[in-house]
Amino acid sequence: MKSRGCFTGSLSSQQLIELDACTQCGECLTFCPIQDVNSKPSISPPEKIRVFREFIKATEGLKARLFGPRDIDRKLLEEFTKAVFECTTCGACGQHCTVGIFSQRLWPQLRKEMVRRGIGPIGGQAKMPEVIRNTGNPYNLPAKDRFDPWFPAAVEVAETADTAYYAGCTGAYSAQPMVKGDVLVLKAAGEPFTMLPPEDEVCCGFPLFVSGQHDMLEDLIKRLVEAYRAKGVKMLLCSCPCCVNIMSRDWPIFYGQKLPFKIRHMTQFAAEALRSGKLKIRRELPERLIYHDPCYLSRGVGITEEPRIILRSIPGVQLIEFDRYGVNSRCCGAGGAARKVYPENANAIGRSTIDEAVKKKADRLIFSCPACYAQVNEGMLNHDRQIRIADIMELLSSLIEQDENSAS
Amino acid sequence: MFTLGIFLTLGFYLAMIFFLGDYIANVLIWIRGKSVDMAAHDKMSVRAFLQGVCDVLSFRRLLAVNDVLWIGEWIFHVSFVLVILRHLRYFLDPVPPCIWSVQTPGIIAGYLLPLTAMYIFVEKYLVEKKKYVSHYNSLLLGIISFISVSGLLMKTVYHPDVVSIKTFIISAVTFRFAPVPGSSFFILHVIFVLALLVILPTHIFAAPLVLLGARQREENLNRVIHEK
Ligand code: SF4
Ligand code: SF4
Repeated sequence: MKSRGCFTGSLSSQQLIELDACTQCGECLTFCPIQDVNSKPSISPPEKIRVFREFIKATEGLKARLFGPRDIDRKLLEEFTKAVFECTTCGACGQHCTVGIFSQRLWPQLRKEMVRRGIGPIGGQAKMPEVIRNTGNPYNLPAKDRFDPWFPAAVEVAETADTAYYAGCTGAYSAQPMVKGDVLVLKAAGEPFTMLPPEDEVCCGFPLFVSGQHDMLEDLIKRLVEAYRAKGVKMLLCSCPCCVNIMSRDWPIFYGQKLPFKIRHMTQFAAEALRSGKLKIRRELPERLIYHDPCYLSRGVGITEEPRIILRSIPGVQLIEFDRYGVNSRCCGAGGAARKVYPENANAIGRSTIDEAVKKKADRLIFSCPACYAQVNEGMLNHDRQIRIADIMELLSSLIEQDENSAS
Repeated sequence: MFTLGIFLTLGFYLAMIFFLGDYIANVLIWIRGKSVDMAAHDKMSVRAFLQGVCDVLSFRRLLAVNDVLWIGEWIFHVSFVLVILRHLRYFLDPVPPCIWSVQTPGIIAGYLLPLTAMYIFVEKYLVEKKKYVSHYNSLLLGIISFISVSGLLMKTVYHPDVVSIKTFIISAVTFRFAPVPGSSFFILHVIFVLALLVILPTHIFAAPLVLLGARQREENLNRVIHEK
């Protein structure tokens, strides 16, 4: 079977130039977590770029313009699709790219092109739009269970407020200590906040965006933005890096204009609350903590300092770093909506994060991302090395609310 | 030699058409891309532009990930540019003073070019034993090595008639035919240069643009979610 047609429709001019800019030097392979666990050069960044460039050449290059486009073998297209969907979209290849390709944005757009051609996505990802349409979240879980199992009875949610809190699907369903910590921190800081009802707090669109399935995005995003606007929100807070990434980078584009509110990550709020004295840490924590920078928080939106400000402000804490940290951090394996499609890769990558933390003699591994939290938790199952893990807001809330919560 | 001169001159035109045509086709593709980049907030500042220019000239990003390879690649690319500038004396009449002024650096670069090509080859393929090997890059390296070695041999051992070389090249660029100088090294040198022109990588123009954009992106990263 053959496939024809232009391959450039999903890409921006910058991204088309990026494809031509790859020198095929191969330096990025050293930083690719997928290459660490599955060293097939065929799924490496330069090879994906080379193959996609061949597709463009065959359909729109000089020869194609002079003598007509060439057919591309369906098998080749399928192999490419698998390669581009195996990636965690962590963006480490771009961060270390010798010419500076913004790969964290490029790969999702190449996926979008393969989805447009009916070849992607892979496995269960294909069901995601329907699942989100039916339940509002990509996990096919009922909306009524979104907040009830973890929302503390003592925390009040205002009908309207300047600040809104978005829990996010992964946090609400798979990293509940994190979202619980978020609202406890908001309460402790005395910040009145509002939330959407569980059936209205639908998916932010990130899993659809990153898997190249953009059809529903505009609708989802407009629904959410309008709902927060109706509540008079000025600042939308969230702890999930993927959510804040799409909210700050892409929501304005799909919404068609500047958002009527600011987007902030919870660590930004907490760091500021600690600085201003609204939030006070009441307990010591004599532990060596190691902090993992989530790819979509560090490379994605540039948040690397705030989590460290929070951790350093805890008395007794000794903060240590991974070999690769900040914007150079290494993926935990959860990214790119590939976790459930390629679980062996995800677990192997997650385990190397655990191993490094254990090797560095950390007492606890700290996250600020529900997907990292869930992934490393899963990676710990049947693994010979174990470490205590905590979300940064879970930890912080345990140190400011002595009675209700425990830090471990 | 006159017939061969005609063939090589026509080959030169063909290679130029291919080279320019390919680039024009690429630029047309770039222009057709969506004007709204999904990566918002990217506007070029003077500071980022100047830093980006420094990145292009210094290969800073390669230095950051592989300093051993960087030194070889940087000297290789600078030598390549100097050798091209030195060769412009064959294409221009009269030769401008700036081209005369790069003759000595160009000669030194001519020696460095094959040495650094060898260095890159040994470092990449034998020392680091890179997992990802681009056959296309190996071919480029091979062709450039051959061109530079044949050029060096003409400079040091075989000494073809430079006056007839200049006559031949000036004729070609002014759309006339002239006999090719009777040196097999020169003929092979030209054939390989034409082959290089045809397969020259797209990154020579695209990579500097991306490097500039990358600097701007780095500068803007702190504004994505830290805006006032
Ligand atoms: S984005 Fe991450 S996983 Fe994907 S190719 Fe780049 S480094 Fe590898
Ligand atoms: S480092 Fe950049 S230029 Fe080099 S192979 Fe990787 S993506 Fe291409």
